[in-house]
Amino acid sequence: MSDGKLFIKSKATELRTELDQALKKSKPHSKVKIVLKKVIANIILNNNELVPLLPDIIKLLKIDDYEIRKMSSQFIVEYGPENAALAKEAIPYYTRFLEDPSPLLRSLAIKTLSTVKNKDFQIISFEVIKKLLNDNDPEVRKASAYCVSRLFQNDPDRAIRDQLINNLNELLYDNNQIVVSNTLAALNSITETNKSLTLTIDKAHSIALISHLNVANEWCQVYILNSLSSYVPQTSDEALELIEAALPSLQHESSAVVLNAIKIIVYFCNYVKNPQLIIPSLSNRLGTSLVSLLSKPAEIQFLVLRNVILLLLGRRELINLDVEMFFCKYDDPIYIKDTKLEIIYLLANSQNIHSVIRELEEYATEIDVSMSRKAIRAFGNLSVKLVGAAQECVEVLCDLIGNGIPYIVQESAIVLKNILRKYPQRFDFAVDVLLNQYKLIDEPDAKTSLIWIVGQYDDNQERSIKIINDLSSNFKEEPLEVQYALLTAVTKLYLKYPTEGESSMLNVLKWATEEVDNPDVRDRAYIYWRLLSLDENTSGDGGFQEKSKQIILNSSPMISSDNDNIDPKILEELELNIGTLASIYLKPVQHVFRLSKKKQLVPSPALQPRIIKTAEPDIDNYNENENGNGNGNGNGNDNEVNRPSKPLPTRPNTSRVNSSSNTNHSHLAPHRNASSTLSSRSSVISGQKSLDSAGSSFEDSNGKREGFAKRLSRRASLITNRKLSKS
Amino acid sequence: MLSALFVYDNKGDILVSKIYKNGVKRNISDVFRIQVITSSNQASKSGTNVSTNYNKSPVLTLGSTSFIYIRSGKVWLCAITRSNQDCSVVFEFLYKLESLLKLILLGTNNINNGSNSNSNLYQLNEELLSNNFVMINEILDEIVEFGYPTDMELNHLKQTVLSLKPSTTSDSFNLKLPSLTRRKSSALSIPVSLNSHETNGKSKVSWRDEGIKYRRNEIFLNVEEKINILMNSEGQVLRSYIDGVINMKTHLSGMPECKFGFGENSILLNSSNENSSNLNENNVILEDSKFHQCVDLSRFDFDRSILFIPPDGEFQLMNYHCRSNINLPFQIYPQITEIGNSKLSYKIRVKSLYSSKLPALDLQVKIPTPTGVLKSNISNSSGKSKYHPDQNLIIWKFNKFFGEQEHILTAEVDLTQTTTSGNALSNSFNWTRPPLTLDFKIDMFSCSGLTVKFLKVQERGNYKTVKWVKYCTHSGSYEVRL
Repeated sequence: MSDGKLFIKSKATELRTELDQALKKSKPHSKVKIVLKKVIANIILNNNELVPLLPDIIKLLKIDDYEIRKMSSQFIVEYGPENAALAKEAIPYYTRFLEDPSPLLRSLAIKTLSTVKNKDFQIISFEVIKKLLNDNDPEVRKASAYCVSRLFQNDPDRAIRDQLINNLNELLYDNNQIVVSNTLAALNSITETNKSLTLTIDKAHSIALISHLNVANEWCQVYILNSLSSYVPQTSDEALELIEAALPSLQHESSAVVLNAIKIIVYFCNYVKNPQLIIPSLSNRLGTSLVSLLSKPAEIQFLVLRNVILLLLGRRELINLDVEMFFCKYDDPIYIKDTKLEIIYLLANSQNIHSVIRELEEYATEIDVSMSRKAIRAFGNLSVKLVGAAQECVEVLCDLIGNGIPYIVQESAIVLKNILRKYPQRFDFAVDVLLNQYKLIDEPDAKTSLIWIVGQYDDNQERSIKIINDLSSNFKEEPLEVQYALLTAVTKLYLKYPTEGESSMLNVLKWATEEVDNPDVRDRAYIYWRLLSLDENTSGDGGFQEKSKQIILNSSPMISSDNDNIDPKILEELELNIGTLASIYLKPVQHVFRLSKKKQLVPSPALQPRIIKTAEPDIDNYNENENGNGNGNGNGNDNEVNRPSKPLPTRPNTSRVNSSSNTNHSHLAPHRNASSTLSSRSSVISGQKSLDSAGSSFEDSNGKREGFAKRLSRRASLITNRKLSKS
Repeated sequence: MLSALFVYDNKGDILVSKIYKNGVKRNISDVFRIQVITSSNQASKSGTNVSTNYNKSPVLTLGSTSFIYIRSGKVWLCAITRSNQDCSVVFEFLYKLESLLKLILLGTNNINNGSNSNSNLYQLNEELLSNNFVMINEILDEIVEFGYPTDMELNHLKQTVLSLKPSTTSDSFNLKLPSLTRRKSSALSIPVSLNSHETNGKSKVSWRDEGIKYRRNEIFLNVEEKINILMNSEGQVLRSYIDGVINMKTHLSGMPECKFGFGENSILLNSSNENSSNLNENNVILEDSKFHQCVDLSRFDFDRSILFIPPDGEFQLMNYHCRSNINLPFQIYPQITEIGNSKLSYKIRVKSLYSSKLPALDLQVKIPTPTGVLKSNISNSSGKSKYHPDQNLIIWKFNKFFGEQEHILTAEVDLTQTTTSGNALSNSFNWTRPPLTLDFKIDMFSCSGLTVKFLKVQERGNYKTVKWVKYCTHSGSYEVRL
């Protein structure tokens, strides 16, 4: 006989009859248990009709059988709150159990008393809990520790008034490590909900806790490691000592232990200057321990990979990773492939770029459309990020476009737009390749990019005019962004080729001003129209439309990939939350979980200022290597490691100035944003850029800085279906 | 930590439910059923692709509540948390729970998942869970306190979960407990009573009880390696690594202290003074080894010795990675040529590189073909080959494939015209070109070259121990891009 047939919903009256019959027998135990099993089944199946059985079940408590008592208690916990008056009858039994010699029964009693939310139960629990915290059996002490957090959850004020927290604190010095670590977990649950309470640990105690790590089971290790982040080291030596003490835990088989160990190692690294130089193996060990977690099931891999991204963004110098380990497997789930691509992008540098490009090419030709598109996008981002890689990337892109597969061509068009902006004039051959395939393009984004490229870079007069005529024939039905792009492109063509471009320019402007209902498109068309018909343009000594050319045929501002950086404040908090849910979303913790408590680094004499990375380290790297003045910094890794301590060379400074002056113009940045707000404070000249913008997005510099962060979190939201509501 | 835990069957009916904390109600289970299970069922019904749910991320956050879930066989295990909780603990807990249930209900250990782990026999299903719902319910009460996992060791559970006790006679469960029955036969009976608990709590190591006794003391050590290779069509290795595990089974009395060591050429990396440049060609370099909780990690960090007091029964002592100096067992050279636009010709050459005395068992070469094959014509120098239209694969099988041999398969497949016409894909056949894969198993061969040099057992009783050491290499994902 198996329990399967007991797993059904039943009625209270049926069960009561069965129970009565069972109790008539001289040895009722086994029959009673069967009834109780049915009761448990109904609890699992969430059947609320069993409340009337409460008095019958309470009576069962007097049968001296642990199993019966345990199952009955579960019933009381579940249905007791529904009828407080009846449930009260059970209390005398439990007070008696508390005195029982069996530790199991004592644990059961205090667990039940503290869990039932009725007032009577809670009052009793508060009265007895202190005694049980000092029980001579460790299992009972452990259970009682959790009961304190339960009581705290139900009535925090009373718990504080009764100084239960102090009692828990005393348990931290228990001689049984299981009790200690579980008390830490209990305290953790209290501090995470209460805003005013925080856990503080002194040095002696943190070292004592570490000594428990060896004998503790994996969960206890997690709780101990986690609690170490409550200790604020006062000197760098202390922090180093703790880092070394946590290192062995990186070898643990459980991903929870490893991630928590990484969390506290990274935390303590905040209190040491250049920890990776003091412990040379540190970055290797952190790297390999992360990589080895990739043999875990997909869900855990996903979590690990998201944390790898986090560490790469904020703590590049602390982890040493091989890009090959993040190449996608054929059967990886999409969410893993996605995250791996992001990591490949972050890890690519001038040393490994060749293998990265080969790998991405492989993905791009895959039949899976979304993967292939992402790979192509990665080409674009890479060539913007790494000057040295641009040539190779563009060549691969041209090959791909040459195959004439529609979605590849479309995605490549979008990507090429960014590359051409970054390296004007350098890749004119790519323009030719793309424009040969223009007929395949029908998606708005791709069309917008194509139109912009034609307007900006195509020198072949006949072809440009043909393409633009083709694409504008359907002007009124096009989506907004395509209309914008067309407006700009026809104006440019007119300026370049006054006679041949005139008719299409007139057509488009006419449609836009007379037939389109959207006021933004109309206004924009008017601006162009007025500009072209300005007196200064037509008369005077300058050439044809001199002023308009100055404004419209201007070269666009540079773009760069330095918007990879998430705000250091956010990174700092996320690093304190390695392995948590927020690390999956890579968003400020409070944005994801409104109620969660803010974590931040506590200042101490040893706290190191956070080094804010300057723009584009990889390009600097590349240039340095190319100019042969690498200063003996053999490979890129060394370079990375030394960077914080080195006085910054002049080049990064200037490039930073550049990039900050660009921050207003993110419309062609590698990521595509869709917000459309026009800035009023920009002058005419910079206004040109906004008019020219393909996506017409204007963001303040803050928004730009978080660009990558947004992309990441948006991706996480997409793949995790998180509803983005209020934020 | 966990606020609640639910287990659902394939249709979304509840098999297990447990509320650990305030803040969630039982009916929150409906949210998960509607948001995830139903939608994934619909997707797999309507879409041709079975793997749609497989592509969904394993975390769903709505407001402050997160649903963190895994699938095991035909059931869903879903943990519900509030606010920002440690996701790594939750996932680790779900997987530990899965393997614990498998161990108890099926008698198989997740650790040695051989090739047959996919078959239905070894998966959790609703019948199995509902047949044992009382016990599972009880286990869930024991392993988690107030949402925090506390102890998931089977040995610990055997003392507190009544339905797991070997002495249970009143109820006959549908459960097999191999380790239990074996222990009953080979060991003197262990006194398990309610009060024995007290002594256990004081035992220094939480994973081993005192007073275990065996008549015959044995220790089994299995080195199992899974080799993962990715080659391009020219036979160059693009990526190669080995996931190795060392599994142990101990039947030892008392509180034995074990120590073991690898051959001299083995180097366990992660030491503080490592420098990869001065490592010898012949060295076996094990990277980032991870150990079972019983291994004294600080001792390992100090002098690289692996010292442990093993838990009773089966467990995974360590796992490791190896990325350099791998002994490649097979080299494969595929040649695929397109003849016209409706014909493909294959020539696959497989060469074995290990010692000629060893055989690889159950070798299978899976050669993908495009869909819509009309006719296939295969010939091979050895083994058996067959075209499987349902999987679009040519499968080439060997019962035994000895070392230092080379075999060739040639094949020609005719394709329907429909697959070729009408699209301008890069390859003229509308074909994803999945990689060619290889499955095999080689006993007494470790592709990392790892050897166990000694294994010492020390105990106060000073008894003799019989020791068994076994090596085995499996193929993980052994792939060749075409």
